[in-house]
Amino acid sequence: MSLSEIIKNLLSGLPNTLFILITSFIISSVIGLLVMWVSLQNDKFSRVISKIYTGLSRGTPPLLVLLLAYYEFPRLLSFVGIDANDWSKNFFAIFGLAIGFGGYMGELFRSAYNDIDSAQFDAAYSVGMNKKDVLKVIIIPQMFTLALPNIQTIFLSFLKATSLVYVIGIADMYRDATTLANASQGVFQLKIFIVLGIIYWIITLIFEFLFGLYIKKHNYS
Amino acid sequence: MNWNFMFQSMPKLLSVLPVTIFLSFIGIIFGLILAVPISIIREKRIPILSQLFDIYISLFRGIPIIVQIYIVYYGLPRLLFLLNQNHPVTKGFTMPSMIIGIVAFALNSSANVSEAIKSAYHGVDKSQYDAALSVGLTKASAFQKIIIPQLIPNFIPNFTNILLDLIKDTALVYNIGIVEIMGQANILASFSFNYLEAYLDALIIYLVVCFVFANLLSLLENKIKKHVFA
Repeated sequence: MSLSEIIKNLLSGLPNTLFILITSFIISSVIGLLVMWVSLQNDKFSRVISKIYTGLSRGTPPLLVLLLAYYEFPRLLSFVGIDANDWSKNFFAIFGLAIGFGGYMGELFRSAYNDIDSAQFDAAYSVGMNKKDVLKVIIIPQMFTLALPNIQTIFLSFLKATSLVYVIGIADMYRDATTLANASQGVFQLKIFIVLGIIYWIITLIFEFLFGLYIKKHNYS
Repeated sequence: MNWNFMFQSMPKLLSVLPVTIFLSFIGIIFGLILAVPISIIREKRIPILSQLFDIYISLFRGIPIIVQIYIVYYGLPRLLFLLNQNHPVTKGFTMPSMIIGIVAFALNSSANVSEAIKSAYHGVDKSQYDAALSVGLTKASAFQKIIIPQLIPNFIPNFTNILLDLIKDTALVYNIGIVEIMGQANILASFSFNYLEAYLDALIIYLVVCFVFANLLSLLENKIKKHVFA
């Protein structure tokens, strides 16, 4: 099997990998912000809840979360009368990854929030801004700046974790590689997997470059 | 939900817990052994070698671990065969999966640990080294007595994360035929399709293991901190 054939075959799974990567990352960010918001509440109960969720998401292998999301979540939904058997596999993959990484995202945002000087709140209140505006104009932009290096790290872990969605039978790049390896009776396995590794590496480098460009452009450090 | 099955399969899953622990520990120990010289080479900026290791680290951090495991799985026996083609042992030689798992995890964690060492090293104030030299310490003893004791508590939190990630990544090696917790859960569940119960058992074990190691290491960190900064 020629090299170009392998590359062509593997790249056919790339759009799906990228789609899962980006959607699950966005949903996970929303979960992370929610977890942060809950963990910053004053009552003990919500702090405990957010701590438990963070511990759960950080202590379980993403593989296991994906399997549970795909095989057991529909069963859970059927208890409340929702039939999820025909839903797309992509949905469960995205859901599983987003839930599995939500704890990391929450920690990331929380540490960024804690790094912001609380005097800035007081200063903003003293000039008459209300809480919503303070958050929108002053706090969240700074949080984003502070969190950006960590966001990059997590984004790249997401990219690597998307290779695990093969367990629920989604045709991403990794699954293409195994199918291709099996189709050739295992003769080209090593070649195929090295090519796959290089493709993942190049994608990582591209995203690293893009993040670097963004950070440089906005002069964050 | 079959509670009975869940209780019965728990001890069976726990019986393979040593495999998971062994694999992740040996992996990270070899990773650490590899990472120290790599970090020294990169910090000293030895030409060619340091660039090579930059690429090495970028590669191992940029490729999903499952792909790395498969590359080692298919590549290592072939590499050994190429290196030693005429040796009788290498003919028709199949490698134990355990060795492949350990090699893959050691290579992977060496890249991550090396980055952790780098950030821990940069976290120590550089002027302390100059101060130590100015009071007459030799370079070696300044490094040994001033830098390294401060580097270690800096290093432990990142090291903990790497170890926990590695423990979670061992869930992937059932692909190459090592029966650890995930593999055992799949095997047990496949008899009677009790996937939920088996996976929940596995989840509980992973959670407890991660919790225990996270706390042990943070205890160690506090102890070292007290010892160093007291």
